[in-house]
Amino acid sequence: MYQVIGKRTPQINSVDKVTGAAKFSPDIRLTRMLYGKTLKSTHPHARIVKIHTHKARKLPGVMAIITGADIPNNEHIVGSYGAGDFSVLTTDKVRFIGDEIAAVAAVDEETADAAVALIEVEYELLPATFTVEDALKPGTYPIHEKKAESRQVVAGDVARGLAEADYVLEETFKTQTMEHVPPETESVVAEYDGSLMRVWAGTQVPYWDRVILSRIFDLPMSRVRVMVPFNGAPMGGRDIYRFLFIGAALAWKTRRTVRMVRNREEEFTCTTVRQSYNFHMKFGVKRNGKLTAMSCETTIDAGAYISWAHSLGQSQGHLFSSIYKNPNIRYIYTPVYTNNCYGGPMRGFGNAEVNFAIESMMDMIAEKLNMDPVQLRLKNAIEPNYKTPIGWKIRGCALKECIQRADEEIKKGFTPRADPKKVRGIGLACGVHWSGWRVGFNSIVRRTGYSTPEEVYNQNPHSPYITVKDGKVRWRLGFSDVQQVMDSDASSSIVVVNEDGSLIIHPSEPDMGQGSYTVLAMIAAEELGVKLENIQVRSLDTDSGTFGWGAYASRTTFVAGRAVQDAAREAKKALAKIASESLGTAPEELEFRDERIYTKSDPNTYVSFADAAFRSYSARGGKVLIYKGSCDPDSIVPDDMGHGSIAEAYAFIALWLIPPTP
Amino acid sequence: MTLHTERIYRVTIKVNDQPYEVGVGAGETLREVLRDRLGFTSVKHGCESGACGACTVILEGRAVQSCLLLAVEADGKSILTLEGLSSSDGQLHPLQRAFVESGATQCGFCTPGMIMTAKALLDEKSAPTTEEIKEAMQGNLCRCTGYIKIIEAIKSLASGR
Repeated sequence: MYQVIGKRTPQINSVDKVTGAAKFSPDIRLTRMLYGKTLKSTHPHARIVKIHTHKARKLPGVMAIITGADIPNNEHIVGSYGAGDFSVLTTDKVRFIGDEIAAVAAVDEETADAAVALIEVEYELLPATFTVEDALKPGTYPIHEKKAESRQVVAGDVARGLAEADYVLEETFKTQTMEHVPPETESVVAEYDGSLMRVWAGTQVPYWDRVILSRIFDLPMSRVRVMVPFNGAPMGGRDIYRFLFIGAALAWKTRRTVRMVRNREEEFTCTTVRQSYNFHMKFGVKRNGKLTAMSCETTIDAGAYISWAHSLGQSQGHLFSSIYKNPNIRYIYTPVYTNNCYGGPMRGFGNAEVNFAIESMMDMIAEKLNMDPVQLRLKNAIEPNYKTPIGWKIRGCALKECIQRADEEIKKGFTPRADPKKVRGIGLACGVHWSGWRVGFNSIVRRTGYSTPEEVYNQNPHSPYITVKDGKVRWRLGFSDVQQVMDSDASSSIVVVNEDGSLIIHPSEPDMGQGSYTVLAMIAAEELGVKLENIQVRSLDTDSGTFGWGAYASRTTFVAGRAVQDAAREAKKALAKIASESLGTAPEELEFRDERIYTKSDPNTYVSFADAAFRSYSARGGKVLIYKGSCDPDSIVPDDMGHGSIAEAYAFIALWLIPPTP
Repeated sequence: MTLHTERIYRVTIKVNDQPYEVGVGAGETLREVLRDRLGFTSVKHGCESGACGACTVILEGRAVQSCLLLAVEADGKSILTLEGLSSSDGQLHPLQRAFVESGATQCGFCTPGMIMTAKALLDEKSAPTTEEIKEAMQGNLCRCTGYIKIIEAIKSLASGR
């Protein structure tokens, strides 16, 4: 049925990877580059009293030394739910070892390192906290002015569900901090010539970076360009990363090209981690295995800054509610600040952690009920065309099939030992994940960095977003009445058909090695019948205008893929019209395959795809063959209780584990 | 210009059959010279401590971590980087082709180091077992593939060429 889809296809850019032609951000060499290095805190918690840079400035070859004070809009660059507590360079107090407070641009790396070593900082040491337990004790020295709030995902009546249960299991699970250890460390090449800012970086979210850069440096987006070369597997760690903005700040200050690459020690120290969690779960179940209630109280070791902690907690609440049928859900999560490294997304965005706890609970319940863990899961598993109590619209779902298949594989591959004293472990777990993520980022925070007009006024009294009326600061008319919640999860694309029938695709998300460019090319190849070797996917460049939310949440195939399909179908319509004029066949009767456009009823009546394309370029009044496409999935932004459906499609998983035969 | 160099050492190294004469500092690593000075960007900066293998090149027939060698140690020696593996008319080496066809690349960052180590192995042992492949490759880390396709790619050439 499909010509291209479903067929084993090497990545379209893997030849570049095996020849060394593939250039990652740290491989970019431009003339007269400067090299940047940062000064990090060596204390977990300390007030910055004064930063002395005079000795460092005297070093020959030092071109600039900056602190947060040198950056126009240094504060509030990122933070979930408007709690934008993170700056490009920290100015008030350092909150973890690795917190960056100054940066140097110099003629070479050695000079930059030497200059950093000459910067002297007067710190007032403060008590530091390293565990959630300590942070929750009354009287602990605060890390931020306000503690992070608890939030929740709730449906039904958990108290009643627990009361109705024949058995209630209550357990606590802890998961550990993890590092991404990306093969390519954080890096950025940034340049600013006084007019245009250009940034090359292995980012996952170039359009996010652009809006933040535009905000930081008061530049219209037309003067900010973010480009993503080959990208060495950030795995969630470069979903808005500070190093990129520091590099841009050095470029902005020096009006030069600045290259910054983290060494491995900095990568471990300064970059986001997968946070540790504490899950306190309470499940109610009937004797026959049917769940009556699921409750969980989670604390998140958010570390020094809020970062993505609120979003991670909410995501876990969604996942908690969406594997098993059960009307009574309560997921309450509290990010807790500590002086550990701050967290961020990492492979699964909270799923692996909460799933471990949920599935452990299910196994323990099965044991208590003396029930096959497979049967327990089958009894409760979500089915197709089901709306979960928090509103996830499940359309397709093969969870039960997956569980049954896992069960078959375990039974096939495992024989218990005769000796009851020798055990071999087998295991099964199931879960769910999303393909897309419509979570309603706050549009005011995105555009201004702040969540109140007073905060904007304090930063810039002349901000275009505010007015002062009767002595009170307000959002300007027409700005605040825009919906506060961004209700989009869109991707887009441009497909260009060249005169020779070859294609160029401009994507809206960068490939991070997962092969998304290959997927986009395959989709275009399938729609238009063009060979893969004649399709190029350009590496992400925000100047293309193909806006997309970013490479995260497993969204690129499902959302960006359909944007390419949309553009390719527009191209197909136009070329069908051209071919139809040539062949005398109605456009509906035409088939696109093997780089030909032929009549379905008589394949020998055809024009080559290339000839049809050329015709458009060479004829009077011919159309330029540039087609745009977009896709915004049919999902629903969650409300304050977490009710909504964040993706249009959800993937269900069952994993099984059997030991190798001895 | 390096800040702390008291003396410059003139070294001659052959890279991909081409001789280069470079003035290096005593503390400069071979990795720095190959990548930063001579522009062979396939030689990656991964850890600078010999743990990840991303900087692997072939020196006098042996796979080495170029971040652990001083440039002066390579004086008079012959080095092969990934850039020198394809033929002069651009034909892929069988190892490169195998990596493409087996799906052994994802982000591609570890790929140069993987291919160089694999080449050194296959030059020494034309038919390594899976265990021998794993042992030879254990100094090259990959965060994407889970290694299985990389081993398959190498194994596909392991019946002698």
